[in-house]
Amino acid sequence: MTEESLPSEDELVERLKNNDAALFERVVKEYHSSMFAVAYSIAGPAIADEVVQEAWISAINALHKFEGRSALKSWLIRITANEAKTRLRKESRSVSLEAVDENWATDTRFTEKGHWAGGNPEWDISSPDDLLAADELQDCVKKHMVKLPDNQQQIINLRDVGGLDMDTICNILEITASNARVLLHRARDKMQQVVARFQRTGEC
Amino acid sequence: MLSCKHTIAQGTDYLDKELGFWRKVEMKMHLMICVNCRRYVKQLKQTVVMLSKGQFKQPSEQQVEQLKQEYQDVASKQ
Repeated sequence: MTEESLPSEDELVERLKNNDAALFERVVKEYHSSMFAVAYSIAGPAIADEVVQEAWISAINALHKFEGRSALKSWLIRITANEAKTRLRKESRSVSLEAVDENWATDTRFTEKGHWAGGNPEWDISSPDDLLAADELQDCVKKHMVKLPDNQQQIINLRDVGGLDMDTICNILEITASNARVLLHRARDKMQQVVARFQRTGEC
Repeated sequence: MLSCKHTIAQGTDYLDKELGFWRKVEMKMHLMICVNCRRYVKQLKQTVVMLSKGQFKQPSEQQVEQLKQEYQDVASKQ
């Protein structure tokens, strides 16, 4: 979080083109975590830092050509996504965007008629801050997050952790809005189940 | 009437206000009478807020300084 908000888009770009280093520093701090979310989701945790660094350097070098047809943030996100995808190809890590984890028919939480089989108890720890403060639970969430299918992991990291909007995400991942919503729900549902099980049994 | 299983499958669309009018009405009616699904929707929201608060890391001071240097070097050449 920056203490004061950034200037309007036009002023921002104009000042950045005119060597305003203090403003540049604020822009880095403001947009870095969204760019990191993109790099992390596409290229993986091991090289996310490098990808973001490379993306900033490309952006710095191309800044004088930036015409403001899109918002600066969208431009930076696009550069990061391109950089991440290029690196991904180089590292030849395969990501399947089509893989579907279909567990609808075998979801043991529900009876055949679709009612809750054993109810759904209240959580003892329920405020998001208390959930975050529970270290063992957070370790458990992280452990299960990386076990999600690639496409679900990407979308939950981009949307919920990174805070990107759905249009941007659909562009980056080249998927339709309806597909994105299904994947996002599957990922969130899985995380809800992880937290629920931890609260019920104390086990990860 | 929607089943519980169908209701929770719409949880994300409900929270993100992406449901059409009738689907929203149907879901609200179910939630009015079903405590388990009401809890589920609340828990799903708590999970999402929890994830959004555990944000990705900020850049280190060293990274920021390095980028600022790069920015100034490029700017001085143009």
